Amino acid sequence: MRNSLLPLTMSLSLIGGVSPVVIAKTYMSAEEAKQVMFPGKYFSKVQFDISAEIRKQLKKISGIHHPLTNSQFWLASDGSWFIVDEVVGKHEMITYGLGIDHLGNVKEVQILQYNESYGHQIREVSWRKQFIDKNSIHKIRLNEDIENISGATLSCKHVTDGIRRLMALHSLLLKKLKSHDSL
Amino acid sequence: MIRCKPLLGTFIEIQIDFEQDQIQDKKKLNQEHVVAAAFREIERVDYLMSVFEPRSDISIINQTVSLFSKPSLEIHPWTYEVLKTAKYLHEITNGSFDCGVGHVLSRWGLRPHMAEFSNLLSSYSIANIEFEENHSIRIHHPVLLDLGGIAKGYAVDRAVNILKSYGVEKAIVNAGGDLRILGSVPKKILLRQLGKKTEFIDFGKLTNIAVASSSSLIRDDSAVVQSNHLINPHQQIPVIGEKVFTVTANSCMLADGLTKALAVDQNPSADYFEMLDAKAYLIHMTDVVGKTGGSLQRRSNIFF
Repeated sequence: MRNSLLPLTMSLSLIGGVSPVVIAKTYMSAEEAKQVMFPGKYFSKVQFDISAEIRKQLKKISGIHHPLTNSQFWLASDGSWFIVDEVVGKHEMITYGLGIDHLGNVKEVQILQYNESYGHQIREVSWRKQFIDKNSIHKIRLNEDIENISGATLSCKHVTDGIRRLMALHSLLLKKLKSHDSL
Repeated sequence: MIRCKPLLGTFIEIQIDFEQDQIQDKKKLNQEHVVAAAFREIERVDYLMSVFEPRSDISIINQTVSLFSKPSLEIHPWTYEVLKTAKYLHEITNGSFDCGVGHVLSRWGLRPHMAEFSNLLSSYSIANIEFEENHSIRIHHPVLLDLGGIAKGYAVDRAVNILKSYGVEKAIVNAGGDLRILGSVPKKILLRQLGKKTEFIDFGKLTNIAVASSSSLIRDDSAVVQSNHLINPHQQIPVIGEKVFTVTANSCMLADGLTKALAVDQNPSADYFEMLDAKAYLIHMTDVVGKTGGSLQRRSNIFF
């Protein structure tokens, strides 16, 4: 966090044509993801407590320390689950939807939102001018225009860890919960 | 519309841009189905070519060990196609691209354990594979392959082809930085450079092209660190440094594979780029705090 604010302010005030980079992409809403994974299926939102013992196990299995407080759970009458969870890194926050079928297998994963931020600028290099669309505005604005990023591959390890935690939660707790509709 | 899934160890983004009535197929398909079909194609590539999957074609090839009988294996046509391209790249880059480095990755803990045959005292290079008819390969000497340097690009190409088959004319498939643009898409390409500061270089707007990049720098949780995943197959040592190796080509498989040859040879003017109608960019991270700009070596050709 130490260097996030100051260079950002400086780059805005001292260097023309550059902006700090915030990549915020929304792919789909939780509702859309639920429909894509389980077309036409009715789910009810479920809230429950997770015991300290299970929390400890989840931490051990997934290596994730932040709690599950923002996660949302939906249960269908056949025992399928739809879960929205988020994983957080230093520079990114990712919200994803996980569908678990009635047999307890991963049905589908969809990234709902991806946010990445740096207090730095788009680099000016002379050769890039050949690529710039003559009609486009030179500088890249926040949250706009940025769709495609090449460069070193970013790992989806955090999301994989998050899925592992939710699947562990399913086997420790969720599969024992029944929908009101099925009673 | 744009969708994103975690596959092939990274984030795969598929964006299509078309009107509903553009879909050729008269069946009631919606955009969601079209994108889902493209994701399924990528999942299949992962299943066939991952070394993490013990029953994948590649794992089976790696487990086939016989010095005398030179066994022949029938493999999936997709794996055949990728291996054939991999061998071709190996030849024209004089060995700078070689996916027979699985044992090195395994030794450094980046891949599952691979049994090495120390008594054989020779390489596990793709050069040991001969291509036969009916999607069969003959293994002249045991190999330890890893298609991590090329399969992602192939998966992108497959996804793009599926989108085309549905009549999609404008799309972008981005497999964690290896991307292909179909048609003219009004969005810019940024090149992410990881370093003490993470910066982005604006590549501008491109049409009908694949862009792939490799770097030894990776972001591991909060820190940017050197990783050993780029290997110099001649010396079997990792390529390290603060450079980004970017290649543009007509197919993402070629762009992806060629970034590895660029990382090893560090020569953007090498003949093989021109032979394959590709362009190479070697971008050096001269990352001094407070300074913008960097050095860039590049072929002298005009880009377009």
